[in-house]
Amino acid sequence: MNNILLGFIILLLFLTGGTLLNYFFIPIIPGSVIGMILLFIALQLKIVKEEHLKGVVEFMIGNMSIFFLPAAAGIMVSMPLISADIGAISVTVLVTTVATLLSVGFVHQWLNRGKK
Amino acid sequence: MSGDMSVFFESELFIITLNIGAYVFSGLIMKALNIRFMNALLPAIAIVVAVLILLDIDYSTYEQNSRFISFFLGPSVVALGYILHKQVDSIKGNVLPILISVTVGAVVNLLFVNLIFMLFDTDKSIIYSIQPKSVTTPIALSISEQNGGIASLTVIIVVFTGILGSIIGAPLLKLCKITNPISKGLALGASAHAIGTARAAELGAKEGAMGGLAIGLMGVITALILSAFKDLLL
Repeated sequence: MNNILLGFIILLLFLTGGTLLNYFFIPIIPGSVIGMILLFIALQLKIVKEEHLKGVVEFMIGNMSIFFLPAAAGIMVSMPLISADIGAISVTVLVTTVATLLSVGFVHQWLNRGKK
Repeated sequence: MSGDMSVFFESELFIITLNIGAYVFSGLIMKALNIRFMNALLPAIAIVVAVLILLDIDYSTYEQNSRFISFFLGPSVVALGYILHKQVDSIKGNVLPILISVTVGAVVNLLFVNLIFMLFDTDKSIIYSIQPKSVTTPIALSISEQNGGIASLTVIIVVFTGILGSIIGAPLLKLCKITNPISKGLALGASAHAIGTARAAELGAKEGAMGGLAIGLMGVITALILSAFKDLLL
Protein backbone atom coordinates (compact mmCIF):
# COMPACT_ATOMS: atom_id res chain seq x y z
CA MET A 1 0.00 0.00 0.00
CA ASN A 2 1.16 3.50 -0.77
CA ASN A 3 2.95 4.78 2.32
CA ILE A 4 1.93 8.43 1.94
CA LEU A 5 -1.75 7.49 1.77
CA LEU A 6 -1.44 5.08 4.70
CA GLY A 7 0.25 7.83 6.74
CA PHE A 8 -2.39 10.33 5.66
CA ILE A 9 -5.29 8.13 6.71
CA ILE A 10 -3.63 7.71 10.14
CA LEU A 11 -3.46 11.52 10.48
CA LEU A 12 -7.11 11.82 9.37
CA LEU A 13 -8.27 9.16 11.86
CA PHE A 14 -6.50 10.93 14.74
CA LEU A 15 -7.92 14.25 13.56
CA THR A 16 -11.40 12.68 13.50
CA GLY A 17 -10.90 11.30 17.03
CA GLY A 18 -9.69 14.70 18.28
CA THR A 19 -12.55 16.51 16.57
CA LEU A 20 -15.18 14.19 18.08
CA LEU A 21 -13.63 14.54 21.56
CA ASN A 22 -13.61 18.32 21.10
CA TYR A 23 -17.26 18.31 20.02
CA PHE A 24 -18.64 16.05 22.76
CA PHE A 25 -16.31 16.34 25.76
CA ILE A 26 -13.53 18.95 25.65
CA PRO A 27 -14.77 21.99 23.70
CA ILE A 28 -11.97 24.17 25.15
CA ILE A 29 -9.06 22.47 23.34
CA PRO A 30 -9.04 22.55 19.50
CA GLY A 31 -9.75 19.11 17.96
CA SER A 32 -6.51 19.12 15.96
CA VAL A 33 -4.48 19.72 19.14
CA ILE A 34 -6.26 16.81 20.87
CA GLY A 35 -5.47 14.68 17.79
CA MET A 36 -1.81 15.72 18.02
CA ILE A 37 -1.60 14.71 21.70
CA LEU A 38 -3.33 11.37 20.94
CA LEU A 39 -0.93 10.65 18.07
CA PHE A 40 2.04 11.47 20.32
CA ILE A 41 0.75 9.01 22.96
CA ALA A 42 0.03 6.31 20.34
CA LEU A 43 3.58 6.65 18.97
CA GLN A 44 5.09 6.51 22.46
CA LEU A 45 3.08 3.34 23.24
CA LYS A 46 4.07 1.95 19.81
CA ILE A 47 0.39 1.54 18.85
CA VAL A 48 1.24 3.44 15.64
CA LYS A 49 4.48 2.67 13.80
CA GLU A 50 6.87 5.53 13.07
CA GLU A 51 7.70 4.35 9.54
CA HIS A 52 4.05 4.61 8.42
CA LEU A 53 4.07 8.34 9.20
CA LYS A 54 7.59 9.41 8.21
CA GLY A 55 6.86 10.21 4.55
CA VAL A 56 3.60 12.06 5.02
CA VAL A 57 4.92 14.08 8.00
CA GLU A 58 8.00 15.19 6.07
CA PHE A 59 5.77 16.40 3.22
CA MET A 60 3.22 18.12 5.49
CA ILE A 61 5.67 19.84 7.85
CA GLY A 62 8.09 20.76 5.05
CA ASN A 63 5.34 22.59 3.13
CA MET A 64 3.21 23.74 6.04
CA SER A 65 3.24 27.46 5.16
CA ILE A 66 1.08 27.02 2.08
CA PHE A 67 -1.79 25.55 4.11
CA PHE A 68 -2.44 28.89 5.83
CA LEU A 69 -1.90 31.06 2.76
CA PRO A 70 -5.71 31.30 2.15
CA ALA A 71 -6.32 32.45 5.75
CA ALA A 72 -3.44 34.93 5.61
CA ALA A 73 -4.68 36.52 2.39
CA GLY A 74 -7.76 37.52 4.41
CA ILE A 75 -5.63 40.47 5.50
CA MET A 76 -7.09 42.24 2.42
CA VAL A 77 -10.51 42.35 4.09
CA SER A 78 -9.45 42.70 7.75
CA MET A 79 -7.00 45.55 7.11
CA PRO A 80 -9.44 48.36 8.08
CA LEU A 81 -9.94 46.88 11.56
CA ILE A 82 -6.21 46.35 12.08
CA SER A 83 -4.85 49.64 10.73
CA ALA A 84 -6.35 51.63 13.62
CA ASP A 85 -4.42 49.49 16.11
CA ILE A 86 -1.21 49.02 14.17
CA GLY A 87 0.88 50.82 16.84
CA ALA A 88 -0.46 48.71 19.71
CA ILE A 89 0.03 45.53 17.69
CA SER A 90 3.66 46.37 16.82
CA VAL A 91 4.60 47.24 20.43
CA THR A 92 2.96 44.06 21.70
CA VAL A 93 4.72 41.80 19.21
CA LEU A 94 8.14 43.34 19.95
CA VAL A 95 7.87 43.40 23.76
CA THR A 96 6.23 40.00 24.23
CA THR A 97 8.59 38.20 21.83
CA VAL A 98 11.62 39.49 23.76
CA ALA A 99 9.96 38.71 27.13
CA THR A 100 9.06 35.14 26.08
CA LEU A 101 12.51 34.46 24.63
CA LEU A 102 14.41 35.65 27.70
CA SER A 103 12.05 34.14 30.30
CA VAL A 104 12.32 30.64 28.78
CA GLY A 105 16.11 30.94 28.39
CA PHE A 106 16.70 32.32 31.91
CA VAL A 107 14.38 29.91 33.71
CA HIS A 108 15.74 26.82 31.95
CA GLN A 109 19.38 27.81 32.44
CA TRP A 110 18.73 28.69 36.11
CA LEU A 111 17.04 25.32 36.76
CA ASN A 112 20.14 23.62 35.30
CA ARG A 113 22.68 25.79 37.16
CA GLY A 114 25.55 23.75 38.53
CA LYS A 115 25.24 21.20 35.74
CA LYS A 116 27.81 21.51 32.99
CA MET B 1 -14.81 37.94 -23.64
CA SER B 2 -14.08 39.42 -20.22
CA GLY B 3 -17.28 37.83 -18.93
CA ASP B 4 -16.04 34.36 -19.85
CA MET B 5 -12.64 34.97 -18.30
CA SER B 6 -14.08 36.05 -14.93
CA VAL B 7 -15.84 32.69 -14.72
CA PHE B 8 -12.46 31.02 -15.18
CA PHE B 9 -10.76 33.33 -12.64
CA GLU B 10 -13.34 32.35 -10.04
CA SER B 11 -12.92 28.62 -10.68
CA GLU B 12 -11.34 26.19 -8.25
CA LEU B 13 -8.68 25.32 -10.85
CA PHE B 14 -7.50 28.92 -11.18
CA ILE B 15 -7.59 29.66 -7.43
CA ILE B 16 -5.64 26.54 -6.44
CA THR B 17 -3.11 27.15 -9.22
CA LEU B 18 -2.77 30.73 -7.93
CA ASN B 19 -2.12 29.52 -4.36
CA ILE B 20 0.44 26.86 -5.22
CA GLY B 21 2.00 29.01 -7.95
CA ALA B 22 2.44 32.02 -5.64
CA TYR B 23 3.95 29.80 -2.93
CA VAL B 24 6.38 27.95 -5.22
CA PHE B 25 7.34 31.17 -7.02
CA SER B 26 8.14 33.08 -3.81
CA GLY B 27 10.07 30.07 -2.51
CA LEU B 28 12.21 30.10 -5.65
CA ILE B 29 12.76 33.88 -5.38
CA MET B 30 13.79 33.58 -1.71
CA LYS B 31 16.22 30.83 -2.65
CA ALA B 32 17.67 32.72 -5.61
CA LEU B 33 18.18 35.87 -3.51
CA ASN B 34 19.52 33.74 -0.64
CA ILE B 35 17.11 35.36 1.83
CA ARG B 36 16.95 32.90 4.70
CA PHE B 37 15.45 34.92 7.56
CA MET B 38 12.29 35.66 5.63
CA ASN B 39 9.45 33.19 5.31
CA ALA B 40 8.24 32.42 1.76
CA LEU B 41 4.70 33.00 3.03
CA LEU B 42 4.93 36.81 3.12
CA PRO B 43 5.74 37.34 -0.58
CA ALA B 44 3.17 34.64 -1.44
CA ILE B 45 0.48 36.61 0.47
CA ALA B 46 1.45 39.76 -1.44
CA ILE B 47 1.22 37.96 -4.80
CA VAL B 48 -2.19 36.42 -4.01
CA VAL B 49 -3.67 39.70 -2.74
CA ALA B 50 -2.29 41.59 -5.77
CA VAL B 51 -3.79 39.06 -8.23
CA LEU B 52 -7.17 39.07 -6.43
CA ILE B 53 -7.36 42.87 -6.57
CA LEU B 54 -6.10 43.03 -10.17
CA LEU B 55 -8.61 40.44 -11.43
CA ASP B 56 -11.41 41.77 -9.19
CA ILE B 57 -11.98 38.47 -7.36
CA ASP B 58 -13.87 38.58 -4.01
CA TYR B 59 -11.97 37.32 -0.97
CA SER B 60 -14.94 35.09 -0.07
CA THR B 61 -14.90 33.50 -3.57
CA TYR B 62 -11.15 32.96 -3.25
CA GLU B 63 -11.47 31.50 0.25
CA GLN B 64 -14.23 29.06 -0.75
CA ASN B 65 -12.24 27.77 -3.72
CA SER B 66 -9.10 27.44 -1.58
CA ARG B 67 -10.69 24.86 0.73
CA PHE B 68 -8.67 22.04 -0.83
CA ILE B 69 -5.53 23.76 0.52
CA SER B 70 -6.84 24.98 3.91
CA PHE B 71 -8.11 21.46 4.63
CA PHE B 72 -4.55 20.25 5.22
CA LEU B 73 -4.17 22.57 8.27
CA GLY B 74 -5.86 20.12 10.63
CA PRO B 75 -3.82 17.05 9.57
CA SER B 76 -0.61 19.11 9.75
CA VAL B 77 -1.28 19.95 13.43
CA VAL B 78 -1.78 16.23 14.11
CA ALA B 79 1.51 15.58 12.28
CA LEU B 80 3.30 17.70 14.92
CA GLY B 81 2.61 14.83 17.35
CA TYR B 82 5.14 12.82 15.34
CA ILE B 83 7.74 15.62 15.64
CA LEU B 84 7.17 15.77 19.41
CA HIS B 85 7.59 11.98 19.61
CA LYS B 86 10.90 12.15 17.72
CA GLN B 87 12.30 14.74 20.19
CA VAL B 88 11.43 12.88 23.37
CA ASP B 89 14.59 10.73 23.48
CA SER B 90 16.84 13.79 23.49
CA ILE B 91 15.44 15.19 26.75
CA LYS B 92 15.88 12.28 29.14
CA GLY B 93 16.65 13.59 32.64
CA ASN B 94 15.70 17.15 31.73
CA VAL B 95 11.92 16.84 31.46
CA LEU B 96 10.88 18.97 34.43
CA PRO B 97 13.14 22.00 33.73
CA ILE B 98 11.93 21.95 30.10
CA LEU B 99 8.24 21.77 31.04
CA ILE B 100 8.62 24.49 33.69
CA SER B 101 10.57 26.91 31.49
CA VAL B 102 8.22 26.57 28.49
CA THR B 103 5.18 26.97 30.79
CA VAL B 104 6.73 30.15 32.24
CA GLY B 105 7.28 31.36 28.66
CA ALA B 106 3.65 30.66 27.71
CA VAL B 107 2.38 32.52 30.82
CA VAL B 108 4.73 35.47 30.25
CA ASN B 109 3.60 35.69 26.61
CA LEU B 110 -0.11 35.74 27.51
CA LEU B 111 0.34 38.16 30.45
CA PHE B 112 2.34 40.63 28.35
CA VAL B 113 -0.16 40.54 25.48
CA ASN B 114 -3.01 41.26 27.90
CA LEU B 115 -1.09 43.88 29.91
CA ILE B 116 -0.05 45.88 26.87
CA PHE B 117 -3.52 45.73 25.41
CA MET B 118 -4.95 47.05 28.66
CA LEU B 119 -2.79 50.13 28.14
CA PHE B 120 -4.12 50.62 24.63
CA ASP B 121 -7.87 50.48 24.22
CA THR B 122 -8.41 48.03 21.37
CA ASP B 123 -10.98 45.66 20.01
CA LYS B 124 -11.09 42.32 21.86
CA SER B 125 -10.95 40.34 18.63
CA ILE B 126 -7.46 41.76 18.13
CA ILE B 127 -6.32 40.49 21.56
CA TYR B 128 -7.70 37.03 20.76
CA SER B 129 -5.82 37.13 17.45
CA ILE B 130 -2.50 38.03 19.09
CA GLN B 131 -2.58 35.78 22.19
CA PRO B 132 -1.24 32.70 20.33
CA LYS B 133 1.45 34.73 18.53
CA SER B 134 4.41 32.59 19.67
CA VAL B 135 2.61 29.35 18.75
CA THR B 136 3.15 27.51 15.47
CA THR B 137 0.67 28.82 12.86
CA PRO B 138 -1.78 25.89 12.45
CA ILE B 139 -2.26 25.61 16.23
CA ALA B 140 -2.37 29.40 16.58
CA LEU B 141 -5.09 29.54 13.91
CA SER B 142 -7.30 27.00 15.63
CA ILE B 143 -6.85 28.73 19.02
CA SER B 144 -7.59 32.14 17.49
CA GLU B 145 -10.67 30.91 15.59
CA GLN B 146 -12.04 29.10 18.61
CA ASN B 147 -11.76 32.26 20.76
CA GLY B 148 -13.12 34.69 18.15
CA GLY B 149 -9.90 36.14 16.75
CA ILE B 150 -9.24 37.33 13.18
CA ALA B 151 -7.59 34.44 11.30
CA SER B 152 -5.59 36.53 8.83
CA LEU B 153 -4.24 38.81 11.58
CA THR B 154 -3.15 35.78 13.60
CA VAL B 155 -1.27 34.27 10.66
CA ILE B 156 0.56 37.49 9.87
CA ILE B 157 1.40 38.25 13.54
CA VAL B 158 2.71 34.70 14.02
CA VAL B 159 4.93 34.97 10.94
CA PHE B 160 6.26 38.40 11.98
CA THR B 161 6.93 37.11 15.50
CA GLY B 162 8.91 34.23 13.99
CA ILE B 163 11.00 36.50 11.78
CA LEU B 164 11.61 38.96 14.64
CA GLY B 165 12.62 36.18 17.04
CA SER B 166 14.97 34.58 14.53
CA ILE B 167 16.74 37.91 13.89
CA ILE B 168 17.07 39.29 17.44
CA GLY B 169 16.96 35.94 19.32
CA ALA B 170 20.55 34.72 19.12
CA PRO B 171 22.22 38.12 19.81
CA LEU B 172 19.84 38.79 22.75
CA LEU B 173 20.53 35.39 24.32
CA LYS B 174 24.28 36.02 24.00
CA LEU B 175 23.92 39.50 25.51
CA CYS B 176 22.02 38.07 28.49
CA LYS B 177 24.63 35.32 28.99
CA ILE B 178 22.26 32.45 28.21
CA THR B 179 24.80 29.92 26.95
CA ASN B 180 23.30 26.48 27.73
CA PRO B 181 22.53 25.03 24.25
CA ILE B 182 19.28 23.42 25.49
CA SER B 183 18.14 26.74 27.02
CA LYS B 184 18.93 28.58 23.79
CA GLY B 185 17.03 26.09 21.60
CA LEU B 186 14.00 26.12 23.88
CA ALA B 187 13.95 29.93 24.04
CA LEU B 188 14.07 30.28 20.25
CA GLY B 189 11.45 27.58 19.60
CA ALA B 190 9.09 28.80 22.32
CA SER B 191 9.21 32.48 21.31
CA ALA B 192 9.54 32.16 17.53
CA HIS B 193 8.19 28.66 16.68
CA ALA B 194 9.42 27.06 13.41
CA ILE B 195 11.20 30.17 12.09
CA GLY B 196 13.11 30.53 15.38
CA THR B 197 13.86 26.81 15.34
CA ALA B 198 15.40 27.05 11.88
CA ARG B 199 17.74 29.67 13.35
CA ALA B 200 18.38 27.46 16.40
CA ALA B 201 19.33 24.55 14.13
CA GLU B 202 22.06 26.77 12.65
CA LEU B 203 23.53 27.23 16.14
CA GLY B 204 23.77 23.47 16.63
CA ALA B 205 21.95 20.12 16.41
CA LYS B 206 21.01 20.19 20.11
CA GLU B 207 19.58 23.69 19.81
CA GLY B 208 17.58 22.62 16.74
CA ALA B 209 16.09 19.54 18.40
CA MET B 210 15.12 21.57 21.47
CA GLY B 211 13.54 24.23 19.28
CA GLY B 212 11.42 21.55 17.64
CA LEU B 213 10.35 20.24 21.02
CA ALA B 214 9.52 23.75 22.25
CA ILE B 215 7.23 24.33 19.23
CA GLY B 216 4.99 21.42 20.20
CA LEU B 217 5.07 22.15 23.94
CA MET B 218 4.36 25.87 23.50
CA GLY B 219 1.35 25.03 21.30
CA VAL B 220 -0.18 22.55 23.72
CA ILE B 221 0.57 24.59 26.88
CA THR B 222 -0.75 27.86 25.41
CA ALA B 223 -3.94 26.11 24.28
CA LEU B 224 -4.40 24.59 27.75
CA ILE B 225 -3.74 27.86 29.65
CA LEU B 226 -6.00 29.87 27.36
CA SER B 227 -8.85 27.40 27.72
CA ALA B 228 -8.45 27.10 31.51
CA PHE B 229 -8.21 30.86 32.16
CA LYS B 230 -10.20 32.19 29.23
CA ASP B 231 -12.33 34.48 31.40
CA LEU B 232 -9.36 35.81 33.35
CA LEU B 233 -7.38 36.56 30.20
CA LEU B 234 -10.20 38.81 28.84
